Amino acid sequence: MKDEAEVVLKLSDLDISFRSPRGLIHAIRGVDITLRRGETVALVGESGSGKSVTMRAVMGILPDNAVVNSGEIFYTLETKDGSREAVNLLKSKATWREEHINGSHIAMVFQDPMTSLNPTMRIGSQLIGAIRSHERISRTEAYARSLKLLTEVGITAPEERMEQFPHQLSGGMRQRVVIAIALSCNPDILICDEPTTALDVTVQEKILRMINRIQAQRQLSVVFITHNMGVVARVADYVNVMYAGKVVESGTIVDIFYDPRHPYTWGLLSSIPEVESVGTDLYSIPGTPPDLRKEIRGDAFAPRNRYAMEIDYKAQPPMFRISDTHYAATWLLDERAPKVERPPELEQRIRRLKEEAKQYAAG
Amino acid sequence: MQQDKKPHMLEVEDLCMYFGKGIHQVRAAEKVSFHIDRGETYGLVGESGSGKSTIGRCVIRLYDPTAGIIRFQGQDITGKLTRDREKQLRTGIQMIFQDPMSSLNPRKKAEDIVGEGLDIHHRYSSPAERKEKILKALHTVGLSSEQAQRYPAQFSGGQRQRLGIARALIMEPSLIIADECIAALDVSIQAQVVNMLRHIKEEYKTSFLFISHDLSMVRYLSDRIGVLHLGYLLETGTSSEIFTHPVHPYTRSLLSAIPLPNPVVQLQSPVSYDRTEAGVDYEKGSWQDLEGAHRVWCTDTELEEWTENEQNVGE
Repeated sequence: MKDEAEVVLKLSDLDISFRSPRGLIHAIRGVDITLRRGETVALVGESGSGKSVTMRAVMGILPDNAVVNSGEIFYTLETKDGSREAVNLLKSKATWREEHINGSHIAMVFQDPMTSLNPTMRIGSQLIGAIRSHERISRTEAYARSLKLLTEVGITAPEERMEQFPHQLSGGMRQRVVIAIALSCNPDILICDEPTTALDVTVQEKILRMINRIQAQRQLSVVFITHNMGVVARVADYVNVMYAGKVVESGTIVDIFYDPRHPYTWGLLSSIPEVESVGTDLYSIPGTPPDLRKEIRGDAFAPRNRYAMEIDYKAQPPMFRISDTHYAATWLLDERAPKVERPPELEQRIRRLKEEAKQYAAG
Repeated sequence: MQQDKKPHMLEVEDLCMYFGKGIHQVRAAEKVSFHIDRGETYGLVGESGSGKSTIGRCVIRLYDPTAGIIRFQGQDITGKLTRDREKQLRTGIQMIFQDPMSSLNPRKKAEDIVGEGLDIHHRYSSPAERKEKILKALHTVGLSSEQAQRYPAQFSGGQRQRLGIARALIMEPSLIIADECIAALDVSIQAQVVNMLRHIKEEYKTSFLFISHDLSMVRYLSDRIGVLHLGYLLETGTSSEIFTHPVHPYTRSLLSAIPLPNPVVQLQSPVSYDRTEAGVDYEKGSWQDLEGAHRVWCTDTELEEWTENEQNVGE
């Protein structure tokens, strides 16, 4: 196990609702997530599962109608004299957070680069502005730093790019600029909210590579929000699968891909089309996600779960421990539950993945 | 070849679509040619801005193509259309759009949205027949009869997309254009809709033009695939031809960059492709036939160079 001191961000029992004209929407229902230094944690789940809301709570940029019911978000702040102190971000003042945490310690990259960049400002002044709003340095110093940042994120001819407007750049270039701005104040944590969803696969691959490289160089901790299992396999060390505002399974990347335990994770993995699946039906999870306006009794996934038992409709399953790194919230793991096998198609697929991995390791 | 026997369902020949004039001119589609047979699914892939949607919109005549010929069931549908021809086109080709919310009228009930095509083209003799047809279409896409009375806002994203599909199906079209119809859906819902499209295709023998940037879904659903880049159709062939023997360097780079859902197997460094660096001039290209249905848009020397490389790799 890794040392506790390495934990940079710890969310525990986070619970958030949104006020809406038709009542409270219980969007986050008790989320625990741990992020360690230099690690990448992926949050996977469909839209509405609460992945983005969780990370927005960390940044303190929840919309006005959000109510934090309970929970703690501890960030390990390193003070100038080198001592470490855990700060509860939910208890700290918004102004203090904006000044001392956002940008300089925790930075976030969003899906659509066009909405995070100002279309009327040149790239250069946006970068310089971001740096100078956090640090008291001269324009020339900030300019030099900007050039270095642009080179770091893989932009060629940075001097020319500094003079250009966002619309003159391609989608991939824009996302690189946004990442450069996010990195401008040397954060410890980078939160990426579906950064490559709007890009095509070749550009996506380059951006993922770039993030990987920078992460290793800077010892960054990265939170990756995505719904693409391929991207998860590519970048993450640790995966949290979210469903209806809860983490239903968490584990290392190897745990999740080779030994998934929650039926929802089974569904997610099985619904990826493969060469072998041509001509047959894709596995699909029946039904739709629950309405979070209504109170959920028992397991939120039960109505869509073909392995659901009586208990699933009555009580919420706790996080069962499978190994030191692997946890899942499903009653199937209770010792009293009948033994349930994974669907044979998935079992076959996992066997194939392992075979592929073995061949890859062999050379 | 086969043209003498039976015309293709859809035939696109040297389609060009330019927007604007002078230096602001955007060439969205450039000499694009392909065909779709009866009951066949043709997948168009390419990055955003490559002209996928433009081609779909040209086919359904939302745009008036700059040049080229589009034949639907053997008849030219470019240029000015006669009334009959237009009617044939409007019922024979249907479209499913990307965003299910913005393509449904929020003030209409589900049954009226689905039945709108029937109303416009007077495809029923009595209200009972209209109702029956609507319910049949709703059942095909997995919606119940009581949901017919609801408004679009009362449906979930996946259900709205089903409504859009029901609206297309009710006209009993010969060709359905699906423009990124699963891109806005959740992962678990995507598989449901894709399975449904596959069943519709098998049951009704409808032809599909499936436009998407999701390569694995395109491979899963399509019989043949066309790869678009910067308005040019660079390579076309059956799914297995494209995925196992890609010839054009752009196709290769695209395929090599698909992230694998296997954490241990790291992606081998993807084939990088830069058109200017590689010195490929799309304007000089022409169709080069390979085995089977496989064709590549390039010059003779380029083809020689690319296929030679492949042989070397094979050894």
